Amino acid sequence: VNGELETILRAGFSNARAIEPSDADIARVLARAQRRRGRWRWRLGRGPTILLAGAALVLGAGAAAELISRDTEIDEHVRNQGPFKSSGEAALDRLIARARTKAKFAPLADTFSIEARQDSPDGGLDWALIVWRSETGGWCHAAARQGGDKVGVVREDGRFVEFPFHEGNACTPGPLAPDEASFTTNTYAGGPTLVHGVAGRAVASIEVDGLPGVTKLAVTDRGAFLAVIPQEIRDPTLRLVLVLRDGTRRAVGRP
Amino acid sequence: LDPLDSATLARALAGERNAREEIARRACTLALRTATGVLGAREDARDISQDVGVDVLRELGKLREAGAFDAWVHRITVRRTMRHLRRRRLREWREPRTPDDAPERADPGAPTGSPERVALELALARALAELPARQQLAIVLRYMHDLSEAQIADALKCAPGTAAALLSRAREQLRRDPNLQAMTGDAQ
Repeated sequence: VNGELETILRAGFSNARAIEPSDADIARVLARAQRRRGRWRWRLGRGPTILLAGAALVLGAGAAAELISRDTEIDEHVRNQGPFKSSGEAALDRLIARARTKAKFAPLADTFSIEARQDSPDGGLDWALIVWRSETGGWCHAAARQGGDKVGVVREDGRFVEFPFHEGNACTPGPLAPDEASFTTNTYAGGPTLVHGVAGRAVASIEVDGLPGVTKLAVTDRGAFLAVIPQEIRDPTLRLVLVLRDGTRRAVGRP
Repeated sequence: LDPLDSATLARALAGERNAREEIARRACTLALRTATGVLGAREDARDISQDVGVDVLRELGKLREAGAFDAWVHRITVRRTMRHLRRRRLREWREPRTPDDAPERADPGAPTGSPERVALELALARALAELPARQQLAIVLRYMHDLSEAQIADALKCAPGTAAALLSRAREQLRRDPNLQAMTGDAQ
């Protein structure tokens, strides 16, 4: 009887196990999460809000001082590293060490490289494009902030956190054809919007349509490209035109 | 569902929209499945899943590591579902249902498929509705999400032994359910 009940329970939930929320539901959740951030202020009333704001100001000043000193520390660290190449190599060493211990996504450790680097529009840590190969022969790419010998992101609360971005990012399933490109966009709240990817070896340059102030993307020797646009562009519709070395052109759509 | 990776979590914490959407989708999917299993009614489950999605996005900074994401979502879902069940029971206490009223679990996620499958899902939904809330949740977490007793205990915020007891008692009652007993031949 016990075995039969187990079978019934598993069979009875098999349809529900495949239920997915709709795109409209997800859009509603994202909008509500954004909206609810501002609501508490008005619920409290003026007096408590002023008191809380005063307390927050005092605490915030302390936190800001801490963050500024931390940022300065990172900037100082970058400067002390001297030219970009040395700090880039230090960051790569850390990635390679992690890649060796994390076999799940099977990156080829000796293929990591920082292919491009751009100033951050907000004056903070630079954006770096990291490219590597997977064991399937595919190309993977990720854009992250680089602070000294660390790569990661600056959280919304201002903290810089290192992360093993090679665990999950844009990868082509296999080798890239010479006249193909793989790209992705990352849109951060309040900006910037990043466009990054890798192109096959026949691609000489990339023309882009749909990005304010950017019409052409430089391609590195390994075919990588990175654009950092200061604005937040929601759902960017991009059209890239790959200009091949033989002069032919090939359009690719949004990621 | 593929496990959430720490890169997506970090990008979401930095405010990256695609990553936030991925996080919201994963949280809502887990919550929607659990809530549908317990409540049956699709609209209520949808409301709960959206509330869970909003909670997750707002509290994301509290999550220490991506590997703990699912367990965290299950805890929030349990809290939200229990609250919903309490309100539903209070409503039913104030306005008792008459025998002519359609049962609230009459639409257990709009079952589809063969007549046998639909009958099985309806029988299971009705049998589950007779269980206490924590037993319902324990059964759904076990058979919908394949959680272990320790993971169920974490979601229900109880000791592993208590989770095992909840499951045991729930199975015992389900085993005695006449509609489910009639189904044993069809479920193979």
